[in-house]
Amino acid sequence: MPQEPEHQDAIGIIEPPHVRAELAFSVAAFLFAVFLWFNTGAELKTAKGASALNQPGFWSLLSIYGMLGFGVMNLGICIRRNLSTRQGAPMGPELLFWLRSAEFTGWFLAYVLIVPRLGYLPSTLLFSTALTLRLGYRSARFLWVSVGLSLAVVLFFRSFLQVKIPAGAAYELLPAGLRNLFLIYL
Amino acid sequence: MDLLFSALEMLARWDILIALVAGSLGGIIIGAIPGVGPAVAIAILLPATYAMEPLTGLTLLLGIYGSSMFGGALPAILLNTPGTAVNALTTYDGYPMTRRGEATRAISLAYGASFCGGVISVLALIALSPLLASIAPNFGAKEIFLAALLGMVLVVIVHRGQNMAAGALLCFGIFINTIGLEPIRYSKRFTFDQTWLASGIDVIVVVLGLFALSQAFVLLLGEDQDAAEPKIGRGVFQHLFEVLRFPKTVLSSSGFGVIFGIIPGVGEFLAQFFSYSLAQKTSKTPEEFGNGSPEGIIASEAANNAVPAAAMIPLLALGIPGEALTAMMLTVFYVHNVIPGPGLFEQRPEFILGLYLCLLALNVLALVFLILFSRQLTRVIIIPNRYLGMIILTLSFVGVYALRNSVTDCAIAAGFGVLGMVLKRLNLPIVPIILGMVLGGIMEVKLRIALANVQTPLDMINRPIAATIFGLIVLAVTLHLISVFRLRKALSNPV
Repeated sequence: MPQEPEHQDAIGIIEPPHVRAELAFSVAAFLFAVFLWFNTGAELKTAKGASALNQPGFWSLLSIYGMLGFGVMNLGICIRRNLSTRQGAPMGPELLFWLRSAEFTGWFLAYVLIVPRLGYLPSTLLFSTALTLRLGYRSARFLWVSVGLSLAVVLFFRSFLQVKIPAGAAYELLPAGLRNLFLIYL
Repeated sequence: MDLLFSALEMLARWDILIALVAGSLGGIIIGAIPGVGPAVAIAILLPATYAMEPLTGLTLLLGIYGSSMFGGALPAILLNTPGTAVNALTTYDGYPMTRRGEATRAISLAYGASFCGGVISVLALIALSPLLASIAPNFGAKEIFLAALLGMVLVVIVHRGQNMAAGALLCFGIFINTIGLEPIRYSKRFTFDQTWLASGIDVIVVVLGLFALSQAFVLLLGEDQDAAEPKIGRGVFQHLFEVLRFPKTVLSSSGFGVIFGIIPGVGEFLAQFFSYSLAQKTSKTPEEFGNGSPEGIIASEAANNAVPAAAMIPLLALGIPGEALTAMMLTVFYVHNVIPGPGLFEQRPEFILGLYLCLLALNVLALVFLILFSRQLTRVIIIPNRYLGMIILTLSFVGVYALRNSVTDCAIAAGFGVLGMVLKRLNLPIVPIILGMVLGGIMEVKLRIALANVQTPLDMINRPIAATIFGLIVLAVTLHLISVFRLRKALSNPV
């Protein structure tokens, strides 16, 4: 007996599932556009004698009007869609998911702040192994992979490609020979 | 002939060779890991390529762009999970073939079609070059402004069902680009008297946030999928030539890839969608589509692999990126003071030819690597999602921090990372923001130049190319409005 097709046709792929939290996003985006519009007087200068298209604030103003116009229509569509159906992923858990990203934003910014102090290699080792543990990968295999990965990343970007990452202040505490190596390559 | 030799000489340089190998292999591996994708990898590597020669940097990035689609077919076929978003249609027929024990054949078909699509696209690029070289100098400020406007209109139109959201996000991108000092009179725009906003927001910071950090957040906050390591049999090479049994599908799909690659703002997704639909309509066995049709795999893979080379056409000829990845590559040109656009074909023909040869070599390398190492590659497919998120977060730091060693840039990127994550969760498009930023900047400058010779609005379209592009804009908007109207009518009067 032939199996049911996985998909009837290609059209299914361009119809994403409905998420009710789109309403919260649409409201926030519209309010942001309104906030910008209120500040146009204070934040944009007018050049005397220049035509409207040559004004320094023309493109800012155009984009804000665009955000307002498209934003209000998008908001209308979202409200109508959410009122017409009770289906779709609920709003509360989705908003909570968005908020949970704050934790990893914090991890990232902490990493950014410790690099100039500890140095790229020690910071990367610390960051990747600590985050590996936080994510629940406690086996020695994952921890060793994280250590290897940190080394590879530092060697590839700082030693090989010579990307601009400042040496850590902590490197000054190292003995002379080792210090030079760390300052230049790690 | 001299030109060809100097281009070949360029290709033989060790740094280009390393970039070729690293780009093609890196692209395949990145493509094979679901959840990474070329945009993340290119965004991370972008600042590192600024230290390289333009051709070396572009070869590396183009290698990742093109090869990732080769690699993306692997998880699409074996796990029903596309490695990159543009391999989504490959799952339709690839996975059913795997379920009936034809994984190796499906993979061979995908590789063969990808290779054909890639090579046909490069050949089309080479064939179009004389035409481009003759037409490009006729593109003045007006024409480039209108072409960028066409790109903006198309990027809104192609997001069917999300036009308003895409429009708002495009305008948001234009707005971000205007923050800081205005380029002619240097007056401040929306800086709120903050010094960190005076220098504006770098497009790379936004790109890294929206593509790399957002993906890291999505993966870190998600759950790991339990998947056993997929197995594929021997004989990838043996089935490779089966693709030649479907020349019509290969040619039409590659053609769609080339055409949609050239049109700014459209890209791979629509190319494969149209080629798949056409292949299904013209097939002798349309009922097999979705059940494991070889033609379905070929249509999808040939089309998406034909796009990268074609997408370079508007970038090289006009300096206008058609989608997010070429927008990133534009920054590589700018950093090295190589200005893509009408003058490039006249002033640096050896650079253009060198780039074409690199694209050709990348396709060959990717195919050879996949034939030899597909079995080993299946191991990277099953890296746990959240662990992958940690890797992307670690790598994103280099991308952002290496730009200016700025903590503020990192904080801005993190902010855009959260925005990108929200957009991804809501299935809203990210590309309009990037195109808004890049095309907005180009349009602002070109409009100022064009206005010097414009007395009435009609003067903007008083040259043949400008009038043609304007006609295309009107046509695109009209056709879109008609289709929206018809759809609404059909929905309000169901049969």
